[in-house]
Amino acid sequence: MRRLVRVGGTTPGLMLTTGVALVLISLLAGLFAVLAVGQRADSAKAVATGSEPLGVKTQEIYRALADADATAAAGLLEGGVESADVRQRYQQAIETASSTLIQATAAGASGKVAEQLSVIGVQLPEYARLVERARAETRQGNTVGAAYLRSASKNVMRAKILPAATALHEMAEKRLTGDHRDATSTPWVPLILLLVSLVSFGGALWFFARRTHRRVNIGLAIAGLATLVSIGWLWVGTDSSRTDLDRSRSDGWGPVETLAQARFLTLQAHGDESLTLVMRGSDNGQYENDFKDVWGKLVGVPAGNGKPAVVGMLTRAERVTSSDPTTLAKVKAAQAAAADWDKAHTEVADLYRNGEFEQAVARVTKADGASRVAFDRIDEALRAAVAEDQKDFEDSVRSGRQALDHLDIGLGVLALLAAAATVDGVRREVGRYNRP
Amino acid sequence: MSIRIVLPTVVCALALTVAGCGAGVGERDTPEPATIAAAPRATPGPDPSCPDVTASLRPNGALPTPTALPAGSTMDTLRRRGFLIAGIDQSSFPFGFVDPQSNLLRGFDIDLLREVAKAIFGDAGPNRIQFRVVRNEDRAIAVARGDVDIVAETMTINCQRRQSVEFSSVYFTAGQRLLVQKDGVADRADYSGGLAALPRDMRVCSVPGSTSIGMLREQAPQAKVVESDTWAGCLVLLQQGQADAITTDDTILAGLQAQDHIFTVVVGRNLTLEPYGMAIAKDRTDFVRFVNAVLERLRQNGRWKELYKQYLGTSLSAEVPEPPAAEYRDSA
Repeated sequence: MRRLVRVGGTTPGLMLTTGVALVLISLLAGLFAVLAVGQRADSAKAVATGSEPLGVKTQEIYRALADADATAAAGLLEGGVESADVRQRYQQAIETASSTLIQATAAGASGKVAEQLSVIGVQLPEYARLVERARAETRQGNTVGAAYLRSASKNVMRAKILPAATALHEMAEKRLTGDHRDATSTPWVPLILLLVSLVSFGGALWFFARRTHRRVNIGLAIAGLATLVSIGWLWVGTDSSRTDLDRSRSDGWGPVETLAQARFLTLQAHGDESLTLVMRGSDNGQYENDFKDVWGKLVGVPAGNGKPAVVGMLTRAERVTSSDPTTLAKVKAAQAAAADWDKAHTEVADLYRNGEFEQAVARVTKADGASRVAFDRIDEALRAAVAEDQKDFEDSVRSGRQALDHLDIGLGVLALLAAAATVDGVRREVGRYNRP
Repeated sequence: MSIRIVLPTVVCALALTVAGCGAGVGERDTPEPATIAAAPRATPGPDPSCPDVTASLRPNGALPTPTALPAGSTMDTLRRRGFLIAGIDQSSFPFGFVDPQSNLLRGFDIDLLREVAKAIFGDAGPNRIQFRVVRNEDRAIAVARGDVDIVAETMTINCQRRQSVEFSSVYFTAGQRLLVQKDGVADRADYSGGLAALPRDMRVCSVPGSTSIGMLREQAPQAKVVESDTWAGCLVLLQQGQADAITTDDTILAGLQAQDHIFTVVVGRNLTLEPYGMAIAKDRTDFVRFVNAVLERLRQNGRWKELYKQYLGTSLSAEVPEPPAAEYRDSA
């Protein structure tokens, strides 16, 4: 023991101890760097293949459900026999909702997600049943058909199914935000460890040079260089990945979220417009009020009556897509269509009040009806904008993941290289003392 | 004999919407069918300010032909304008509704308006009436303000409304009754005891804010009130087994019954009497007299019974009743 202390106190002993410490610290820094990069790559993969697709799926479920609700109302408005495209659209919406639901359930949802999925799974057949009854009654010429539709829309779709779909989407959003945060956080622990090991290598170089009168220990210099490269690569790699992933949010799922919200509002407004006519006043203007409410959220409301101004979802969509001319053009098209719809809706309301029911219905349901045409235009423009930004997301997240490619292996190799060079450098130096 | 006992309570029931009169309604004898159909006569009621609330203005002799309308009269003005503006409701099946097949307005009230239009213009073409959908609470004000020339919208004549508008003679008398499923049990029970005798925990659907739900809560505390925001919504609840009965005016019940005519039935006696009249502005007395003449003709030429048969069929009774007799407040 005393001998060991004595040996440790000698120059070769000190060099050996320094060497062991350097090897340990550089291997530790390397290990942490490899783990941190792997974790970020996993999170980025989760964003790309797990949480974002889930977000898209839940969004699709919501859209399909809202679409079914709006289309069922439009179909009933046409009387017992709805036109082929309206029937098809309703059918497709229900099918999309069901199949997306099954996919989401099969993907192994657990806990709260499974809970919300089962709410939708249980209520959707109930909704479809009431809608079918509404159709059957209307087909018999029974005005109670409207009450069945209202029951389906109000008590099942809007009271149970859509809130569950919203909760589901919020959970997916939360997961996506979490994964994104994990994938883009700065790897401080490995960076600090690498810096510590770089400083240690510097210190050791200085110590060795003083004790041996040699200028530079080649092994330690190589190890220090390898550490420096590790720091640079880790910093640049994670930073460029973060830039790409952040772009996948700012140009990808961020705008997609806003655009999708605008699309949901559009669908709800279309449903409200149809339901106003379906109810024929027995709702005491409830759906017309609802329409105005939804419309305010879509296009905005100027400040007044002691209430602050509401920024419309379309205006927000315009803001978040301002850097992307292709998507912006589509948002502008949606805004233009919204202005036309506003005019058409006023006409519909006037026709309805004047008892020109058939004319009012034609505006909303006929393929060339002003209201229907404007709705179709907004819906299509927003759908295209969502698809566009979805593509932007995929591109950005792909290059974000590519920036992390091979980074973990590289950092591991560099750490091993640093350790090996240290061992070699120290061995050579200590070896000189052992020589007789 | 029953008339003397029934009539004060009838007026009382009418006045329920205006000022509660409470006791007495449940105790009265079952009115005979004839008294139900007939409009309540002028009898001093609880509201002395308008004892003759259902008495209207007498027609000026026979109905003039469209080409011989008195110059300068309201009818003449309307004829020159070319159309009548009428306040209606599109959701009161079978009085005012949109035919699901044709998307055209139809109903007892709508056809009465067409008869009025025919009397003014000589025809009832689609452009002769401009329909305006008027919400129930806006009916009196829409007439008083001149937004519409006439309102025919299952409007009960009462003292409060009479203060702002003039009414035609009574063209229909409705009353609150019950609609139940024909399940062999509910339809065979004894409902002669009125709401107070309904079975305990019977789930009865009504619409919040209606006079019917007020009656239900007041007279049948033992029943469970199920609320729906529309009458058709009540039928949905009944058909889906979430309610056992619906209570409101028999006219509305008839509309519901017609949509499920094999398996539902209107039961019980009239719990209230609701005389319907068309509302016209107070300063257009010539038009009121003219409309009354039109109604008089419909009563006499059988058209009223035709309309009843067409829109109410056998929902309320096996046979078409006699139209309510007109009452006028000025002597001939």
